[in-house]
Amino acid sequence: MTDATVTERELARLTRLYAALSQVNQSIVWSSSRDELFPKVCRALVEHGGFGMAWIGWEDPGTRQLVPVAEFGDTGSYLKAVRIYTSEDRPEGRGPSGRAFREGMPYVANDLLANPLAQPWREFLERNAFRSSAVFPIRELGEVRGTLSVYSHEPDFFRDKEVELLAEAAMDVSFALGNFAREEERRRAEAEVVRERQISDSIIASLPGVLYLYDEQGKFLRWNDAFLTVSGYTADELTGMHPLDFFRGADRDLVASRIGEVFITGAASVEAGFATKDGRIIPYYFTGHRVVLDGKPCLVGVGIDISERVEAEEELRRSEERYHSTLDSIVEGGQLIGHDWRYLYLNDTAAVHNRRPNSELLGRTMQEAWPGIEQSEVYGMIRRCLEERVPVRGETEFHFADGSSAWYDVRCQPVPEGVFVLSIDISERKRDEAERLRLLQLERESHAKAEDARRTVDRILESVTDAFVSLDRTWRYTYVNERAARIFGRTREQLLGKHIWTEFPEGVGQPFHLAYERAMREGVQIQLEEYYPPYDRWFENRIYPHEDGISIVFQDITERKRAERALIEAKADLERKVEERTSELQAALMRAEAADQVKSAFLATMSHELRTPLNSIIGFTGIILQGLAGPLNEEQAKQLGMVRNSARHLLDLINDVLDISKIEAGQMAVKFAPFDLRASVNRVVESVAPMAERKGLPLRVTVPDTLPAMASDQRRVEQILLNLLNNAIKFTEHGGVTLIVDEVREVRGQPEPGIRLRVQDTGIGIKAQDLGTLFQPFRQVDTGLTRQHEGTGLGLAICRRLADLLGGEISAESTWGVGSVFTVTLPLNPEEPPA
Amino acid sequence: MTRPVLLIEDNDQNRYLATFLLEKHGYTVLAEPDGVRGIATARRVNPLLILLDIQLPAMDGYAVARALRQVDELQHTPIVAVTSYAMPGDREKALAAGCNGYIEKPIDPDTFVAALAPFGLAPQPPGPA
Repeated sequence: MTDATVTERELARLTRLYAALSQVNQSIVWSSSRDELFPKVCRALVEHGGFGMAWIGWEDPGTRQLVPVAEFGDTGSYLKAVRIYTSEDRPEGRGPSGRAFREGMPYVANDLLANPLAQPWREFLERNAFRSSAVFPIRELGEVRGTLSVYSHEPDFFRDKEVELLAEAAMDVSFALGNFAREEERRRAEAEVVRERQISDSIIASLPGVLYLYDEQGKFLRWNDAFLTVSGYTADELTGMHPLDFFRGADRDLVASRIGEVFITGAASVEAGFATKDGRIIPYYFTGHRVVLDGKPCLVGVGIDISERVEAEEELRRSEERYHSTLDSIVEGGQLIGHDWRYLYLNDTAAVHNRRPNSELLGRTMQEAWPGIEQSEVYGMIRRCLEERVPVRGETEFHFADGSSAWYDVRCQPVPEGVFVLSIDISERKRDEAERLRLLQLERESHAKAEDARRTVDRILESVTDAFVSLDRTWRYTYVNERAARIFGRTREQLLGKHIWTEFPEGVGQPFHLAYERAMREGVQIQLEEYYPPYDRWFENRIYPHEDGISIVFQDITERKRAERALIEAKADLERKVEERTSELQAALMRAEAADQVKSAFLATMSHELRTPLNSIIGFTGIILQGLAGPLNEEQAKQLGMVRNSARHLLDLINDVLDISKIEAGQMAVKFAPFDLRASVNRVVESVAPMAERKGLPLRVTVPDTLPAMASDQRRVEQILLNLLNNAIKFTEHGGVTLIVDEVREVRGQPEPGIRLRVQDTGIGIKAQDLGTLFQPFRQVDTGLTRQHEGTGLGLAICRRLADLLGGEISAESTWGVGSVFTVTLPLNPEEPPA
Repeated sequence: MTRPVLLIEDNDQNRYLATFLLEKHGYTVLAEPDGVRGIATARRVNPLLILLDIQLPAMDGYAVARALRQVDELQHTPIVAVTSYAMPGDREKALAAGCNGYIEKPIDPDTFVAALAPFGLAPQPPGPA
């Protein structure tokens, strides 16, 4: 064999190997998981690299077995039959694979049959005529997890160059595994975010009240199901509505002012009627908080239905009104007289019959109010009713102190408090006997009316649940009704005539007692709601002073108080939940912002740290090349020139990597302002012209006579154009480069005025299969054995991202060996990107 | 005697590089490794031009520039920031602090001196090697 054939064979072998590695790299690009990638890698090595067999083993950490997870060329199903381990303590672990795995270094056996490590598998090797093999560790995120083994029929196949290339392939595979793992991690994190979102959605959906989020313009952004159910509107209808559409009349102004308050002070609440689609108005309690989402102030609010409470309050008010108006409007005089002969109640007509104001009588005994009344007929009727507890009725004439008199039809009805006395003035009937018949008729009617009224009064009195006591000026009980006795847990007899403080010493000093003292002292009416600790109950007391002391009407309001408190607590609970959600949202936003700040600080530091050493390298090589530090011979100048070119290339790389990192990190800000496109084109063309001239390439520029006004980011437009022209000149050896600028009416398939920049060259062109990945980072298409053309492989990726940022697009057409056309289309007036 | 160029730069190699380059072009150079000494020297010599690194120990270049502008006789002395901060906004920050110009590192010895001409450095041919 001559040296020439040896070299030729070696070249052929390397060419095959490059082809195989290129396939491996293709596989990496097109695979998204380990399982997808490994078989492709094995196949590429056997089919394109000419190896007899290739397989990938992956360690099972439990058994420490190296399990074959992918293979190609194993015609005898050999791998299924053998066991290979990664641990050294058994013979099947000491083979080439086990060793490469443990050491994390390629293991090469160029004479397999003689290699002592390979002896356990000798029969297999002989049968398949494998003469040499090499094993490469495969790492995942830096840790050796498996091996790639290749077998050749040629002895002594794996020399330095082959091992180096295959090791590079194994490293590429390892790098890809790292990316898969990170991608998987990212997917998991995304799924976690989705899950969190579902949890918070279900919390929001299950809240008992209505929940909503809208922005400062009143546009609804989110709401829970209850909002739709209660309002009766669909989600579609809701998105077109304003929050104030849900309120009517005065509520509308009230709510509008509260919304304003939320946006100014951060929080507010309001009670208002919630108007539904079917015209109902439901009383609601709303509470709103300001939150900032995507930099915009929004209002998140919760509303709860308070119709039961409002209804209850309304019902109570109506009932009280009924009670008083009934008694006040009847034509009969009505007087409630206690067992101690005191006036407890008098209606308006009673004042007419008595011919004196009710205030003169209330709280006083009949005997005090009407001296000498004991002799009157009416007194006897009342006494009989009081003592015998039977109804008494009669017509009687009453003589007033001034000598006048009047006839009354008087009916006494025993009631728990004492006697209820109804009176009808019948003086007129008595005075005019001629009208007797008519009056009898009238009387019958009145009688029926009176019966009705009496039944009403009876019902009312029976239904009055208030407790009632009277105290005289010496603080003795003069009256205790049944209800009061029940509350006190004693009989009336036990209390009557006793001092309040001897019976209820625990009450002295309590708010109720203090109020009694004040009412007694100052003669004022007092109404108060208070908690009474000895009974663990709430009471509402109304205290009426009179000459002999005070009367107290009271009511156990514990249930109402507890219901109110439960309502307040529910409100507070809801508010707290809303607050918690709000602060969680804000924390998440802050975390995201902090991550961005770390990223941009990292970029700034990287930029600075990488440039500092380059300053020395580029600076001093420049100085020496200028001869400032002494003369150089030709060889030194040439070599130092190479150092400087490399350093400048490194600087380009750093700038491009920073550019692309800034874009990916969202740190590349674009600013749109009007600029002169023609001047920009001229400036860029001037800067590349010397390069074209050096290569003897004509550089033609076609710009229309009039160009429309453009408002974009001038620096970025120039950067794109500079990149494309640089590339065109770099990759063209003969022919020329042409730049054509014209106007278009469509950008990204949408009707919009734009400008188109086309850069044509007659260079080497791009193969059809490479056009798809052209704009991805680190893809210099010309990946031959040597890199003919210096470049970072990032230029086009940056161009595409910049075109995106400017609202435009970039595309390439090419014929291999004939030339390429790169076309950038940019809108004349791009929309400002979100801040 | 010509007024010197004042260089405020904390990195030894960078200080040597710029000093060497400017001296070869016939300028007198005074170099200081931090802002405090830089400001003291500027007040003493009233330099032709001040070249100011931004990342400096204790007092950064922005602070130094602001301090220099407080000195009456240095109100109109050209200050050029020479810095490896190359993130968006860095140039604007330097100009806002009182610098007149901004040169990104790494500096190019072929163009560095010419780039300083607008700031009062008359172009001179490099001296003999």
